Amino acid sequence: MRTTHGAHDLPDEAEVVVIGGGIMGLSIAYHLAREGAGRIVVLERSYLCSGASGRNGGGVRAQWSTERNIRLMRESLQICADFATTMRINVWFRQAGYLFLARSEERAAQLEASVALQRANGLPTELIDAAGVKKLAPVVDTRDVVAASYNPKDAVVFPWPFVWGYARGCAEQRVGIFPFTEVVAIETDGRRVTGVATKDKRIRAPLVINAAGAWSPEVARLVDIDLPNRPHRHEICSTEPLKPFLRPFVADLATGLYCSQSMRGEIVGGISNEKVPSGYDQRSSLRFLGLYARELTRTIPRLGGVRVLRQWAGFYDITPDGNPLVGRVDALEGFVLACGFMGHGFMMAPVMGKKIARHLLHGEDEELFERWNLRRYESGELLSESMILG
Amino acid sequence: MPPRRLEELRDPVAFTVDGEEVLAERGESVATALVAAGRLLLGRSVKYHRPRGPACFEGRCDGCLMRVDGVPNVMTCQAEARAGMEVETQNVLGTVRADVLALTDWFFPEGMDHHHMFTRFGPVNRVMQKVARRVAGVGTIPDGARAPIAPRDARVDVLVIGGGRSGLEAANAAAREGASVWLVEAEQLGAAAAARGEGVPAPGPPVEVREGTLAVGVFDEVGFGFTTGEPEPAEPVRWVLLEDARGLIRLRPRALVVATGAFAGAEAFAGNDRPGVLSPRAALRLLDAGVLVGQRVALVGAGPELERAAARLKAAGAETLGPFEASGVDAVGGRPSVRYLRVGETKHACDAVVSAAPPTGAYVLAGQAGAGLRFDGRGFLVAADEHGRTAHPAVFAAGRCTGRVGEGAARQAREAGRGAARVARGEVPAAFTPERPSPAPAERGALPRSASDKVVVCRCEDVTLHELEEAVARGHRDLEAAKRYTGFATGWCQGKQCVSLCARALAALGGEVADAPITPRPPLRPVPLAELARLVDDGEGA
Repeated sequence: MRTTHGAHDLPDEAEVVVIGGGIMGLSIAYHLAREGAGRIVVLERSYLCSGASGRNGGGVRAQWSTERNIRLMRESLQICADFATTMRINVWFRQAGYLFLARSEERAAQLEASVALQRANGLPTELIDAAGVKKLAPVVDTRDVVAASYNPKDAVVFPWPFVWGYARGCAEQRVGIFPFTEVVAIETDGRRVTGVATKDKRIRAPLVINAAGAWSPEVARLVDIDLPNRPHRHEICSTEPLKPFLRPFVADLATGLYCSQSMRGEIVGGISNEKVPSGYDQRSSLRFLGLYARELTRTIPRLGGVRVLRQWAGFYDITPDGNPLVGRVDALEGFVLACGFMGHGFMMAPVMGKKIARHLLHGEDEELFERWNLRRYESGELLSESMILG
Repeated sequence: MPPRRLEELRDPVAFTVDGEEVLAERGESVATALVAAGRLLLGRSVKYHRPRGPACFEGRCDGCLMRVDGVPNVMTCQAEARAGMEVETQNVLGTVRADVLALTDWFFPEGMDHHHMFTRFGPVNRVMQKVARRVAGVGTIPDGARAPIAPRDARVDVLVIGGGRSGLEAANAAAREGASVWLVEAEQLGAAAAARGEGVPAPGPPVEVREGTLAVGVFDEVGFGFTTGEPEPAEPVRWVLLEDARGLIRLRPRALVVATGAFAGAEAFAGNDRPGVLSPRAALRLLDAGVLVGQRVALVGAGPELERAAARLKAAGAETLGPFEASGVDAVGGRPSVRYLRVGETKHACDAVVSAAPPTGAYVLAGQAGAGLRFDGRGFLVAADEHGRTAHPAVFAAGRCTGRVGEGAARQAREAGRGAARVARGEVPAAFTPERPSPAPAERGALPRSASDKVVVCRCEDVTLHELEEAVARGHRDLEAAKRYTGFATGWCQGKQCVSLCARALAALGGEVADAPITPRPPLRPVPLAELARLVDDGEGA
């Protein structure tokens, strides 16, 4: 079944227009359609998987430092575990846990606090010592590891099929998905949204959802709304494929290093890099390669002889307080945000798509959408989250 | 008749393959020695466990990957055979001749719908994923750790990449303008030209020639750690990362000339990935090493490289068949390597197949450097004018990678060299905006009839023509979307072999006509992490 359409099929009118055909936009559209929201159109300015949904490392974890994120991600993990059979597409869900390494007493104390919170919220996370790390991941050099946290329920997936799975799910419910279709204007009557315009078509719609990820500030600028989120280039790379030797996803919050062995056998990972050009420069850097190779070979010395096949880049969608921008915008009726998910929009999209759809249609989860609303930047009630990688 | 040496071994060295002794001429590559010993089957492919053998002899494809002295995925066409080396076949369950997992190839005759298979029942799906995980990957992790190697640093006015005729013309022209010039060549000067029976000019004395030096990536960036103690400039600085036998070199050129040439890409026909199917250059390199790949050689495709290879093979005493049209080939068969080529009902007995697609430009580095790229209907090329100017003011390109040959290419190369020298002196070159050419319609050509064997469009990831067709039918119609859906260009060669073929095939299947290749990302050839681990030494954690 064909899931996407050409611009000549664009309708004149829709109940909902979703801007952004990444996993967030598609997940929202899918759940809106299932809840009977009427005619829905998803507009993507490039190909499917062109943005962060097609460029991330596929990590899905419930180890977070706030109760809200822990609970949401526990639910998202379950959706991911069932995705292959519910959506009939393989996502290569592999539940081997996330291993967060601490190499200082201070980091270990931070992890300990998070572990306590996670356990109180029903996760089987454990704080383990260097010997425990060695048992889970024998290739890791544990000489300077003070402690580590490990949740066996955390997982890694192959990201792309989520996009295709939701896209097909959408298409089966007659949601129109239009790649290579850029929104050039959002139309309003001054108070409320009335529709959107592409290069050669106007679509009337009372509800427009901005799920454009790192490009969401640009989309909001079309209606003179200034969002606080900014794109941050994040690079990632992949090695030659090898037979399985590393089970858990390994991460270190101090350096921002993370890696896992993908379903295909490659070591896929990235690292924090503060010195990146601002804006939408998606090219590759030597600095990233150097930082990543240095920390990765320190953590797993046997990878020294393993070769890098490809490096690439995508955008984190960074908010000042590390929490997303979700829900209706006070200044413009019918304009909804689903952005600012930092570097973890992919893993949150399965659960957030559902929650956003139900919130819009039935008013569910008021508390969550209140806390993550854009208006916190006016009231100054900002949030926090300390377990952000990269 | 199997491959044979045309001359007796003069200075043999002995190494082992899966424990069996093989003799090599001192100085030749492991893969050459293996072919000379009649071993064309060197391993198994990643997905279908199809037999794999050396195919390009240029360090470009996945065919000759083997484990050598405890290091996986060594390109044995580039590795010199040494006494006592332990070489092992890879990705094998059982023996390389009788690989149990080759059943996958038989079980999925047209290809595999790995996105949707076994998704009906949860428990079955979980078992399938576990099995898939177990058999994934090619090669196993290296035996020991490898210590980080510090890179070297250098600066130069003009860097010329590619030691063919255009590269030499450009380098000499730039040097005559007074610029300091490096000319880097991955193999030997004029190696590709020699395969066409052409010579190259000698490098002028002021040109620093570095053979055996591969440019692995071009980067523009701020905030990159300096080792020289200079203050960091605020503007992006251009780095070219080079790799030679000693490790990496971080080179800062003021201007760049890309003269990376072109090569006969992969051609689509049934059984095109089997051991014994070679590129024309591979056949010629074997001949240069004194090895005749077979007594009866079938030719598939067309072009000057194929004609040259045919002539040399005949001169060495081989009998050639064909050339056959790729789309008419129904099967290439035989175990463990080629024994026949079948067209319709006719089986042509042969010991090897030499096949050539239309030439495709080596565009990756120019693309990374900011030059525009274009599609000429058959393959991707660098967009450059007759002066060698590209979309980037400090990047020039010349010769076959831009689609020019002969005297026109030589003139363009000299202009490019002079232009680069002027940029290096600080002169701003005349503005050049290559008009964004509308993509040439792809030469749709006839697609091969895949009657009895897979037509492989990406050998590193085992992607078949049928799988590509399936992707188009599901709406993944452009090169980037189809790449992600089928996985072509995501393996060992990162698309260098297959992207032009996939673009032509997509157009023929009714997909979008390509106007750009997939994003050209570093590294050009896989680089060990140990060599990269000391690129940044600013003492920072992040």
